[in-house]
Amino acid sequence: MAREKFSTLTEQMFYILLCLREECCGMDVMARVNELTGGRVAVGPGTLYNLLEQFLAAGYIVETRAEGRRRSYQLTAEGKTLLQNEVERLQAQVRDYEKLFER
Amino acid sequence: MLKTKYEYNFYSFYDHTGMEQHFEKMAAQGWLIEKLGYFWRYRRIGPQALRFSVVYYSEASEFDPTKPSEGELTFYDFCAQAGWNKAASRAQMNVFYNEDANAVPIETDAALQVETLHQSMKKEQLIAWFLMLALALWIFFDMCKSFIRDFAAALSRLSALSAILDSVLLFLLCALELGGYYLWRRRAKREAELGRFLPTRSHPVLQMLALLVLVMGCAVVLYSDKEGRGTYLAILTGIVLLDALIWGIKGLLKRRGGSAELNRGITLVSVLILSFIFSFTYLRSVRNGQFDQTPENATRYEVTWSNGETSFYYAYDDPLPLYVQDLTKTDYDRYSCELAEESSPLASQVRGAQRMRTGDEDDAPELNYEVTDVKFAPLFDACLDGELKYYQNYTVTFYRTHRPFRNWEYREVDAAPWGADRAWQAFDTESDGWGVSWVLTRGKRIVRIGGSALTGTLSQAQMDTISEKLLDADIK
Repeated sequence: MAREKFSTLTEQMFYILLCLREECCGMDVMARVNELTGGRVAVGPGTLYNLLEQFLAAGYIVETRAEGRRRSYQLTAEGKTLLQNEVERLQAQVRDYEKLFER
Repeated sequence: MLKTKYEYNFYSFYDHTGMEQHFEKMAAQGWLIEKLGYFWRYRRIGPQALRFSVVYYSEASEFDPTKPSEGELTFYDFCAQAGWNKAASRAQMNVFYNEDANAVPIETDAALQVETLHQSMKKEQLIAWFLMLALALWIFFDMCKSFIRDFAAALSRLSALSAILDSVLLFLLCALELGGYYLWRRRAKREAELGRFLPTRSHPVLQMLALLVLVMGCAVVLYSDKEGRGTYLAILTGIVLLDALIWGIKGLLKRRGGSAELNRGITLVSVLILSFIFSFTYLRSVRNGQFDQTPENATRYEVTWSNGETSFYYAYDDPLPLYVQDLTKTDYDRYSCELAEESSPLASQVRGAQRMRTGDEDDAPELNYEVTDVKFAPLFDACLDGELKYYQNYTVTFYRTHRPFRNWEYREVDAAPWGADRAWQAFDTESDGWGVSWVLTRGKRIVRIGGSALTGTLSQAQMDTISEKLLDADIK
């Protein structure tokens, strides 16, 4: 999967990566995202599975443990950078917004 | 009470929305999908309000072992975690159902859905549809060649008309499938940029009708072409047998758990080997005359040539509307008189030929003619044009294509002696001489007649006989 795809993260990509800041079982990510966003963002199992595969192939996450088919993942340094870049992009957007709508 | 129910699948592979709606409707009627394929199998459940989701696992293949891969099982686990139970799967396609109407959908990223579906389509479906499209075009152009070669004859053959219509229908089916998919993909990608899903739409009723017409067309080809019936049946049987064997091999390897690559490789090699065996057997049978049906009113005779080889031929004894003896005297009494009739809603054609038996060394006069009645008037000019271009379109292929009569053409002559509307006579442009072949028209009838029985200057009586027996008579 080309890395260009992740130059801008969707909400779902962002929260999946965020959940993986610490080791987490892939299947549990759905519940964690739901918890973290108060149900605002929902990640479907098909989407989650495919994104995990793509993040893994791109080197943004790494498989840390496998108990049968329950696999756990964690963010890599590259994944952290990706997430950081996205946060900075979002913050820049917020700053621009605030600059224009300053009272 | 029936426990299972079968349905023919008329949905396009990519039409997940259509299939989901259909499965939901079936579940409401008490049927749960449990097997996918050309036929869908349902098992009886109580009528339930289930929500269905058709999703694609792009890593899977038609050649995968029956036992799902670890990746697929993990994918199923993910879905089960969200309350989605697997109902059925086939190659890349998976059908899940959920009892919770508010469950999170399996796919929540529109762009990813379009991408996954395309990866799955590229694996087998698109290749198969493009191959089918190429086949439709090949049949169409091949049939066009027979129309160009002899328009009136092809127009009179129901099998030729059916074959060309079938090829057009097959082309439209492929275009509908491929066009429908690519159009959806283009729009779905646009919608996905806005974070929206685009429902798919296929045309099951249209596909069902097209398939029905296609099958009927094939049946017409099979039953209207009496001479080719044995050949068509042999080819059809061969294809069905080949298909069954390939399915058997593929299924066995799937059950044995062979890898997809191994299965694909062995299946491909099997296709090549079995196709070769079938083709070889078929060609040998053709050579041995095993598909030849002795025609009615015919006797088989053998001719042994000077090199010792023996060939067999048929001598016909059909009643002809016009005989050599009606035009000239002859002592030869071993003629083969063959009459062939073809009829379609657009035209009908009667072909008569009175020839010496192959191998006979007499110099007896011969005669052949075609009488075409054009039933659909707007096609008369095209039929006549085809008859007049007989020499230009006449080819013999032996290593390469030859045009043995390229110097010949039909030139218009006085029609009055024939009592025809118009008349043409063959002319050799190389030797500047007239030949013994004529094209005559009256009303919507076209007659092409030729043969050594017409050598020399034709008398008025001979022309009157030809006119009476071929232009005027009710020949059917």
